[in-house]
Amino acid sequence: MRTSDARTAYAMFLPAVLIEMILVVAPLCIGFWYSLHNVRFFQIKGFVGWDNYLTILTSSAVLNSLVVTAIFSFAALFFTFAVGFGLALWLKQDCATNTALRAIVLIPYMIAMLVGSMLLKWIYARESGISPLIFGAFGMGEVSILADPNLAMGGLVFNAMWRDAAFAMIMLLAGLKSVPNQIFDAARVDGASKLYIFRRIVLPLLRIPILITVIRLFIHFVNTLTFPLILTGGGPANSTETLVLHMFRLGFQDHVLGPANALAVIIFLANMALVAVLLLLFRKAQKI
Amino acid sequence: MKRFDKFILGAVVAAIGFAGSAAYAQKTVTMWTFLDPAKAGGRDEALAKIIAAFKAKNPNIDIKVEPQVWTTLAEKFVLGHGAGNAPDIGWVNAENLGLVLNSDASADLGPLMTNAWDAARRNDMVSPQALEAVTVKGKVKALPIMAITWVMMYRKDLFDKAGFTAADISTWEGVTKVAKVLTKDNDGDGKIDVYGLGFGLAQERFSATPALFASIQDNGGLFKAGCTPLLDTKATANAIAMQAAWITDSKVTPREALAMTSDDAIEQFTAGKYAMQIIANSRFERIQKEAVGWQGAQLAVAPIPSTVKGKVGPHLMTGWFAAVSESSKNKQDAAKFVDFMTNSESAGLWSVLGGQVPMMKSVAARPEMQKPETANLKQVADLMKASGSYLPGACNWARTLADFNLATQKVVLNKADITAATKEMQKATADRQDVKP
Repeated sequence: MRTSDARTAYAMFLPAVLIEMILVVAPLCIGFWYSLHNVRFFQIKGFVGWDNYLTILTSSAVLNSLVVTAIFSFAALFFTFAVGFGLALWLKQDCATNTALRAIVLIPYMIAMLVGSMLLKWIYARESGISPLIFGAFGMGEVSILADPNLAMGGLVFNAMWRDAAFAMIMLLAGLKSVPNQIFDAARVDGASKLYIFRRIVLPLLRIPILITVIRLFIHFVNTLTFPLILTGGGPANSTETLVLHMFRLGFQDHVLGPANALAVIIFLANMALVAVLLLLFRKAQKI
Repeated sequence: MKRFDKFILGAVVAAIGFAGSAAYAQKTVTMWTFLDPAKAGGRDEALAKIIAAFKAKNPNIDIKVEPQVWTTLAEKFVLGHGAGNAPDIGWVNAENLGLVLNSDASADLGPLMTNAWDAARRNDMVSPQALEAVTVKGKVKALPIMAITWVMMYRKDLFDKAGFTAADISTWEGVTKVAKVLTKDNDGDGKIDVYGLGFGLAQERFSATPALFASIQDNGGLFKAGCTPLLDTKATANAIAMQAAWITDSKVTPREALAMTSDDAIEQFTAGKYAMQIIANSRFERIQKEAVGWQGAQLAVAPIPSTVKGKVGPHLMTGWFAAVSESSKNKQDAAKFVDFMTNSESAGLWSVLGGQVPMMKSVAARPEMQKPETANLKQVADLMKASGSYLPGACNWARTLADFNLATQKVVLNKADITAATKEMQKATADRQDVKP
């Protein structure tokens, strides 16, 4: 590359890098610095080294949140991906009905997360929601979804699936659309069954969109705050308090910014690891 | 006179005139509050009148109100101080006093105003202990503007029908007995239509629940010296057990309470689902107006029940305070306005126009406060006078209310025994104070 071309290239991306440095890197560094100090009520009380990290890593509340996050993320990922993939396969053909159905499926995704979670909270409420009508038919009218730890987690997973299945559908539909129809036609002519076509043609050719969708969804579910904050409040009895909700409470409600930032750094590193896994799998998928 | 002498004389006169006008230059004091004096009615209008009255007496001081979202007022005030753009005056709610008092964001109001108060002013306060709550190492860091307390609100119609009076719920034991009788399936469909006692146990948008008051009464407070929590005690364990038993044993409170916020529970009470509930007195008028399926006029107030017969339960005071920013360039003028905003003249406006509980005895004694429509306010003021107490402002206690909820949830769901639950409460609250449990 000529020097003048290089200079032009630098000039083009440097503003974006600068913005990234100011809005992302600088706060990260400040957060890391806070995590090494005792910060109470927005006042820096003294340097404590790795004490905040030790507090976080040995905290039973954080361990509980880690388990909750793992259960929620994996369960939400499974159901969201399964439903999204099912919708993509079902609505693959272009026709008026499918176009309308795709639009309907997209509605929960278009609604703000906070509004969606509040709507579901009202629906789940035993005193004023419709869940007694639904569960009443099965003799479970007295069941309180949000007051039961297992059902509350189920409700949270449903919230995630209800909203984000549309995202999965869009990503996988795009992948499906990129597969030439001639391949499916040839397979059908050769007598391949639908299951065979799905296993031997669709899945291999959709490897990259599937990887992107799975990792993107997983990172989203690990980091989401809105669902547990609004729908369940982390309850009952911390059964739905995720890591991010715990971090939010430490920092913004308890005002203990040292441990909150330590937890934020740990979550950031976990996210970096997830992205590294994505890149590794992406490279492997490209080589195959 | 020579021309030069005339010039000198003119310059001197001009300088004197300029200095004089500088002394009377217009000053602006900015104030962050959740109220908007541009709005009509209630507290907003009361604030507008207070500002107008202050301006009439202090024509060279403008008060510029910048309305803020109430939930972030304290954080913004402290962070604004750090960033150098804090207002001259900031409103802080009692739950967040710890944040302000533990930072260096608020100025000492002692030399600015309270040191000059005479005995009459101090004696006129309904709750003089409010000043102790906001005094840290001899410095008065804020002043109370309006006070709120929790009371037991109950349905007089249901009580009358069952032959009960407020005296029957003067103890927690009495509350349980009355609640059992009032928990009813009115239409015989097998579902409870009215529960005897309501409260919300969620960990977001939470409020004070019965266990908090019982614990405070028997422990003699929520903290001991140095903000050390008093939660890992038999008294707190008994309080949590009492609260959990209402759901699991006597079933006078629905299991759904585990997931209800304080607002959800109040909505249910307004909709006629509960016979009684501990609610902040500030909600009284609204519940009366919005009552569904029952007459709002049947809403009555009783004191917080006691753990001991013959005594009144503690009336925990909360509400709004005004702090002057330490970095304010108009401290004197800001303090002057805060002083005015909290004197008896303004207290009268807050109560009569704003519908707030009288903060001054002289206001409580006014003819306007003896009318039936203000009877509720006077009753609450009397309760505050009798057994009102503020939690130490320097202690970070807001989320301790959620700790009580969490402990109750864990006991109800068998996730922890009571001893473990109270130990966890002690540690959680202590961690927020940077005090070792």
